Amino acid sequence: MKNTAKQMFLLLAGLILCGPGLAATAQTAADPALLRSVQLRLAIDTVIRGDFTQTRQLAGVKKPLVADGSFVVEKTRGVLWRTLKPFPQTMRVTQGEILQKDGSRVLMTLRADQEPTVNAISRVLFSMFAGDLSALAEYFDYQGQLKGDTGWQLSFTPRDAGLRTVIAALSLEGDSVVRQVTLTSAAGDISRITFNHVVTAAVLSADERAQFDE
Amino acid sequence: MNAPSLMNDLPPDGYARRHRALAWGWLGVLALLTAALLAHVLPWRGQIDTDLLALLPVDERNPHAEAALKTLAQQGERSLVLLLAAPDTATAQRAARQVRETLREAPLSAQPAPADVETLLKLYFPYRAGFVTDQDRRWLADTDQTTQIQRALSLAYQPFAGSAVNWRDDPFGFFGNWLLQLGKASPARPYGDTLMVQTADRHYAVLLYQLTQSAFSSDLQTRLDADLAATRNDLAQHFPDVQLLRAGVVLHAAAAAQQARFEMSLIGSGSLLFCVLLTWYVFRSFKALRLILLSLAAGALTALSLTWLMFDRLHALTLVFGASLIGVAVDYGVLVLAQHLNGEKTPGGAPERWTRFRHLLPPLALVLIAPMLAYLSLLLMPFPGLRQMACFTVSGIAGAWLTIMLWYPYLVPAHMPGTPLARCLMQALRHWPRWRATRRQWFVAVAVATVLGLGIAQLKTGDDIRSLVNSDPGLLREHLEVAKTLELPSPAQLFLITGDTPEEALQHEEALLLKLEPLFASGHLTGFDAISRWLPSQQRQQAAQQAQQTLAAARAALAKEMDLSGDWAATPQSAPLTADEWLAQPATESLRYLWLGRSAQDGRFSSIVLLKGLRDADTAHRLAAFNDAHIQWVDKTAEVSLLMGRYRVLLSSVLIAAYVLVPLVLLAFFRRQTWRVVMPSLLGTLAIMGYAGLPLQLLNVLTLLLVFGMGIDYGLFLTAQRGDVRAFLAICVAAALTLLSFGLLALSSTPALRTIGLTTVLGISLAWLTTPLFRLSAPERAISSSSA
Repeated sequence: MKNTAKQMFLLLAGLILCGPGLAATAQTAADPALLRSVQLRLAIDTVIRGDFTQTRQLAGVKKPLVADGSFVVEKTRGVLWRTLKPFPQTMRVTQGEILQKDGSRVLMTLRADQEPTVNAISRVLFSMFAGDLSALAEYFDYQGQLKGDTGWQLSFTPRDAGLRTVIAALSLEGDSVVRQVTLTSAAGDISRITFNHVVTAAVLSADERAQFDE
Repeated sequence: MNAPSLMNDLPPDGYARRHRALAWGWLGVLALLTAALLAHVLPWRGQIDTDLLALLPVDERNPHAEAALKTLAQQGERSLVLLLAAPDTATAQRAARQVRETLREAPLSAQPAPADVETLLKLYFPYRAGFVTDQDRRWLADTDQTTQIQRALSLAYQPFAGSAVNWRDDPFGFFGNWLLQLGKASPARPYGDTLMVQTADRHYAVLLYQLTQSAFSSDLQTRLDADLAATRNDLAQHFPDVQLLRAGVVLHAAAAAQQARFEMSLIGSGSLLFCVLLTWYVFRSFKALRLILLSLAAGALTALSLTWLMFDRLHALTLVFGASLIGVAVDYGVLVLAQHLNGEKTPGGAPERWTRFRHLLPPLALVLIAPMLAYLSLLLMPFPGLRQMACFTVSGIAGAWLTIMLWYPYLVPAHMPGTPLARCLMQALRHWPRWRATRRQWFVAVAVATVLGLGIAQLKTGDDIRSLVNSDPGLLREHLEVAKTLELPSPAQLFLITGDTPEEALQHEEALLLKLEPLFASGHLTGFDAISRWLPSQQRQQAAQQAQQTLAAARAALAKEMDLSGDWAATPQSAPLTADEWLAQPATESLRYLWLGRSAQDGRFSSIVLLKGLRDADTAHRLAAFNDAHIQWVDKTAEVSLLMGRYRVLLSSVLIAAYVLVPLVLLAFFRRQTWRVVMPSLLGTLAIMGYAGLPLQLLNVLTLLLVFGMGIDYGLFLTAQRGDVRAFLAICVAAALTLLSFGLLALSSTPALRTIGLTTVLGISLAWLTTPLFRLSAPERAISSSSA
């Protein structure tokens, strides 16, 4: 069984993509009651959609990069992330595939049958936007607090050493929906995403469905 | 030993003195062999060698390839892989945790920790300008500045570009993509504390272990067996929906050793019991039994001690095959004893015995020649396993024969009355048909010949080395599923790449992988393991840097857009990562089996490329076509099968030569056509094999050589004794014993031994039945006296 080669890249792959550091599901390092309370404050619906403003502060780059766009999360399908400014671009995260498009041109595809971590990545991203905290708790230790009658804030740090080499920290804030996500990469690039006009719905629009299906 | 007491009644001539000296000498030799055996047995602890590699020939023409295969085998020998197949990840992980706990006390250690990510990154990061995938190289070749800028900006704005490398250090993502392609080396990924592989419907937790001792240590096998059984029970109890799959050399070794021990005792005790019973019923004499058992013990002692001295370890196949030897070694004692079965009280004692001995000496000497020749030819084969079996057999037969020849004058019973069974057998010869060349017999002969011819026409050949392998089908299935899930490459087929320098070897490897591209694309191969995936040649790294020169304008524009300094805009340059530097990193240790390094023989450097998904022989043939001065396709399985085929052809000619030559020689001695005896039995064996669909392979041909020898013995003995019914009795007893012990061999689970057993049983039965058919018409003289 000559799979020593394998073990090596495994960790690499974990590092390359914000790979899944699926650690022990036992809730050791956090307070499950807090998580339950936050989960109760979150609205549960099939579809969540809204606008976002994203500010990236890249390590070693002074100029902050600001982008605007809209997003849709559908429970069974995944995430559609549409940047409008400064240039239009679409990212679609579904079970089994991550696809990035510039208008109609495909910039990148990553498929689970080629890169097995894709499934786990899409799960983390989906959980992040949909506010599925239990899934995040599998990958991260967390702490946080409830704010006022409806608000909450949670900070996550990766449990797994492999994941820690990619993500330094992740924090979420919100009320009945997630309002802000801050992702700090291990290398020091920071993304802050603020969500606006977030609404929930039972079904996708025809246009959205088409984009998921195409 | 009561030989000395009997020595008083020897004839006082010089011959007897010499004989007595030899007999004492033989006793001394046996004492020495006993001492040698004890020296081996005492520290032995029941360890039996089941290593298949020990059976395979070493390719001396190609030391590089042998070294490569040996490295791979050593690397694999101690590895144990467990897969836990579960319906979901969480269950698989919980089960994995439990299994780890259960196996904590097992003779296993976790495989050395994989290289940690930070170390690897640190290793590659300074050289990142040289790491660009083929796809990105093509992209670089045909994009314009706008597209290039677009790609960098798109990465800069992408919020989830999870990478341990900053955008600033890898603005186009080339390095990230290069790191990503390293992931193609395996489908397993770490999830928390567990490696996982996911397929469409199963989630596998992967547990990689290393044995603390050799896979062939019986201590370890016993302990591991118990631990794995406990694990299985544990899982069945707590995780009924989790399936345990195991793969490792040790599992096959343990199963084979257990099987060999069982078969050895079955065949050994079966043969021995039957031997004692038959001897008793035919001769009804304790002294006869003593002589037989003494010759067997001496044979076993000689075989065990000499083989151990010569080979230093005993292979399971040798012991199983050796156990069946009882049936052959006992023949000489039986042949001798039968001559004394006359019911007469030997008048005058010793002198009469010596007369008989002199009378028996020529046929007994001739009888030894045939099997010895057959087994000695086995000794010439380049298969170490077969050589060991031959050594065991030759020394065993020689030991038994010498015992009979040297001690028989002192140990043979003075008085042996005929027994009912002996009389009955001797009577049988009277009624046995005899070839008289009548018209009716010719008619039958032609009919039989036609049937035989048809059978022989259906004979197929098969030289698959796998016939030597005794694989538990359940274990094999598990192994295949593990190999498929983890996409393990074949360990017996590989490309060997050589070059005058490490750099040259890497370049040749890259050239080969490029040539293999169509086979990967068409799905004939699914992947590869090669060092150049992890360490591109310097030439390639330089080419990658060169290709990025076209980005100068794009980088300048990006620097302006992002408000970065002019330094950043310059395309980064670095010296390439060298093989020496890469190999010196502890992080690359787990990959070094792919790099053979400098050969002691010719100072050249070599590496190996392992392939995944190679299934059909067609593709293997196409791969062999890639051979050139620097690249060599090594296919151990095919090579050994080819070798077996070559030796089968060679031995077939030896067999045919024996068919022709031996009768010619015998003709000089006997004038009568004794040789005709053997022909029908051999042709009959071939025909039955043809009808039964048994392939003709190296081992059958060897067996036929043995059968030929024994068939000759039967005919010869019967002819030499001029159709004496006592000779017939001897043949009957000898054949019955051979049949039984080889018949038991046919029960073996090792295909090769089964083949030997079946072929011998068929051949000996036919030889036994046809021998009296061609006996001389001399008066069956002893019959009247024996019934007294």
